[in-house]
Amino acid sequence: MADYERTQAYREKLRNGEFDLGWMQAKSEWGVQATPSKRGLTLNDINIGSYGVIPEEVPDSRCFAPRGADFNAAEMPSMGYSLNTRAEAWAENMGTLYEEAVARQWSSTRDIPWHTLQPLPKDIEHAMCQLCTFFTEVEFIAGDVPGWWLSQINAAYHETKLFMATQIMDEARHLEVFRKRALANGGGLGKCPSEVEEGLKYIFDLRSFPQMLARLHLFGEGRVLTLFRLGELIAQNEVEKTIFRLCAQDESRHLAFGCLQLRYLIAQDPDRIEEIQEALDIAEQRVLELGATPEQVEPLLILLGGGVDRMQEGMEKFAFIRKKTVQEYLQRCHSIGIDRQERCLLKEAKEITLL
Amino acid sequence: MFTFPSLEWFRELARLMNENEAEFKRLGYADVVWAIEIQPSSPGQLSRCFRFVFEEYGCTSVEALDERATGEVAFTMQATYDTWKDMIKNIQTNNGPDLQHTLNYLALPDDPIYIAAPDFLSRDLFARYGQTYQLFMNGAVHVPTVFA
Repeated sequence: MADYERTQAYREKLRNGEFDLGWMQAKSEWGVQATPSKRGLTLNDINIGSYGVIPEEVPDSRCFAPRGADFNAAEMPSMGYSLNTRAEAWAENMGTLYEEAVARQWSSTRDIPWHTLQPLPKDIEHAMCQLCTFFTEVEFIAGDVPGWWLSQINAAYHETKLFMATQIMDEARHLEVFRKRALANGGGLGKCPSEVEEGLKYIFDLRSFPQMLARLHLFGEGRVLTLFRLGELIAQNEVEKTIFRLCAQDESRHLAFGCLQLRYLIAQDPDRIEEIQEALDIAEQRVLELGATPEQVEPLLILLGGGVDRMQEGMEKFAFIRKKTVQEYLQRCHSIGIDRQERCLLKEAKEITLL
Repeated sequence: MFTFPSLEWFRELARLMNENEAEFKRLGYADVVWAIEIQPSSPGQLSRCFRFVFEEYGCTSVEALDERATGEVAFTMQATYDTWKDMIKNIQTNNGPDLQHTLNYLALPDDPIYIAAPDFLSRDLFARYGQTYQLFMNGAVHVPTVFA
C-alpha cells in the first residue's frame, strides 16, 4: 500500500525548503545508451542489458511499473493481471510486429480514393452494403476482445500489450471504413441478424487467453483475412480494392500475432494444446450452427456471381472460397504445431491435402 | 528498352521503387525477401526466378534465383510467362491494373498466380504487405518493355 505518511512528511520537507533526491539512487541499470537503427529507435533497439531480459514469470508484481524499473512489488496495489508468465503473454518478434503495425497505419479518411466512387447497380450496392454491415459488426468484437485482454497482461510483457493496442486501433479503423463505404454511395447499412451476434459474443466470454487467441486470431482472423482478400477480388472499383487490400494487410498482421503467441506457448507448454483444440472445436461448431444466414451468404453470392440473377454462379465460386478458407486454417494450425485436420468439424476438411 | 523477363527489367522496377520512396514510406516499411517465378508458357521457354529484398521503404537487391533455392525466400509468386505478360501489359495500358489484374485478384484462386511458400505463416506475408507489392508492380507503367 502507498505510504501516505511519506507524502505528508515530504510535503513538510518541501515547506521547509528541503529536497529528497533519493530517486537518483534508483537500483535499476544506469548508463544505458540504446543505439538507433536505420529506421529510428525501435523497441528492439532498447531491449538491451537488463531491460531486454524477458522474465519467465512475474510472481509478485501486478502493477504498472515498467520492466527494469526500481520498485518494491510488495508495496504496490494489484491490477489483477491474470497473464504473468512469458509462455502465455509473450512471443519472439512481438517488438518487430509492433513497430510494423505502427509504421503501416493508414487513414480511412485520407488514403481511400472516395471521390472516384460511381453508382453501382442496385443489387450490387445492396450486397456490398450488407457485406460492409457484417464487417462492421465483426470489427467491433475484434477490437473489444483484445481491449479486455490487454488489461490482463502483466506490464513486464509490454511488447504484447503494445501490439494489442495497435490491433485495437486497426479494428477501429476497419469498422470506420466499412461504415463509411456503406454510407458513401447511395446505399446504407443493412441487417444485423442475431446469429452473427451470438457467434461473436461467445468470443468475449472466453476466459482463457490461449483459447481467445485460437478463436479470435487463428480461427476468426484467418477467415476474415480470406474474406478481405475475397473482397479485393469482388471489388467493383478502386475504392473497394484499396479498402480490402489495406484491411487485409492489418488482418494478416493480427493473424501473425495470434499464431506466433500460440506457437511459442505450445513450444513452452505442450500440455496447453488440448485447451486450444477445445476452443477450435467450439469455434467450428458455432460456424456450423450459426454461419449460414441469408445476410451472411447471399451478398457474397451476388458479388461473386455478378448480380442477383447470377447467384448460382456465385455459389460455385463460393464453394471454392470455403474450401480455401478451411485449407488455410488447417495449414496455419499445422504450422504452429496443432494437428487439427482429423478433429476438424468442417466438412471441407476431409477434401483437403495439407501441403 | 528493357526485355521482360530479365534481371534488368526487374532491377528497373526496383530503381523506380527506390526513387519513389515517399509513396512507399506512406505505406510503411516492409522487410521481406520474396521471389517471382516466370514459368514457361510454351516448349522451349525456360523457367526464370528473381529474388527481391525489400528493406524498409525500398528494394535493396534484385538477383536471379535458382528455382531450387525458392525455399530460402518467404514466398514465391509463381505464374506463367503469358500471365505475367498479360498483367504487365494491362498495367501499362491502363496506368495501373484494372479490377481483374491486381496481384490479389490473380492469386486468390491459386491460379493463374500461385503463392508458394516453405511455411504457411510466411505465405501470409503476401497479404501482409499487399499494398506495397501492388505499388511495386504498378511501377511497370514506367518501364519501357519489350516482351521476349
